[in-house]
Amino acid sequence: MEQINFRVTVAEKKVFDMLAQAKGISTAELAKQAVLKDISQDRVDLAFDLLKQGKAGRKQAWFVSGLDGRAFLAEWTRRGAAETIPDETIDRELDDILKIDLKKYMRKKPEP
Amino acid sequence: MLLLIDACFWSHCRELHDAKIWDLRDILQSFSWGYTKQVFQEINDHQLDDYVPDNAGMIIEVRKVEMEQLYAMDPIAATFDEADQSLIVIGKREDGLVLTDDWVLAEECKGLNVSALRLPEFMLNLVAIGIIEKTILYRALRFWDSKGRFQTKEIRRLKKFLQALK
Repeated sequence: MEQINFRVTVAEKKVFDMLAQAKGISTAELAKQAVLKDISQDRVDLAFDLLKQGKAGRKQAWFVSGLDGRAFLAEWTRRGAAETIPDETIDRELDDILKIDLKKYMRKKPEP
Repeated sequence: MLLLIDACFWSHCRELHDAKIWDLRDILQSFSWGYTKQVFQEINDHQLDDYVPDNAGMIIEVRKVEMEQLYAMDPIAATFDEADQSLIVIGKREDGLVLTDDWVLAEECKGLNVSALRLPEFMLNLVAIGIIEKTILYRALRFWDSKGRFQTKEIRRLKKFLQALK
């Protein structure tokens, strides 16, 4: 776990405390929930921007979005999103495509 | 030697299963496979546990010293999250094949001489050794094309490979 510290005025802190008490949670938890709610749309936008710019792979983009796996893929389709992979990476992958022998990873059948 | 499957790969396999195209779990018993504790944590944190079979794969421990050796050998690896790092470490130690749909991780693995495949290539290899039928991969390619999951260029070339397979 990491920590984020920020300063608020005495009056703001008082409101935070009152709201947290009314919800039955700590002031820190209230602040965390408020921030995460506020950035929820921005993080989805950021995730797909990173993906499009080739600055993040699928997993990183998915985790940045904060969506569950199915929702992330549904959002991908809704946005008509595209992942940017350098051409040379795709070419290399396709050139090597059948060089891996999957049989090496198969379980050995017990001898009769 | 074993298959090391990451959370992203599982998520895309679940999508194919939801679309009634193919279920990775049907063929997994033929392979030695597993995940690290860190990947297992991601599977739980990201609600993939409704798809990933319980207690079926090996859970492999990564020692702290192995992670430190990885950072020393390749500082770029330190920028990946712990689950990705653990897959690289175990991939090296166990001569594993990392299955990931995250091309950044796949590239990093290959740079460190760890074998890695993304889902379309993995399925193509399964067709090549007769584990799944060509028609399944054709359906998957059509599905991915309709959803924009892979670049058109990649899908076109995969189809060409598939057509060339006997």
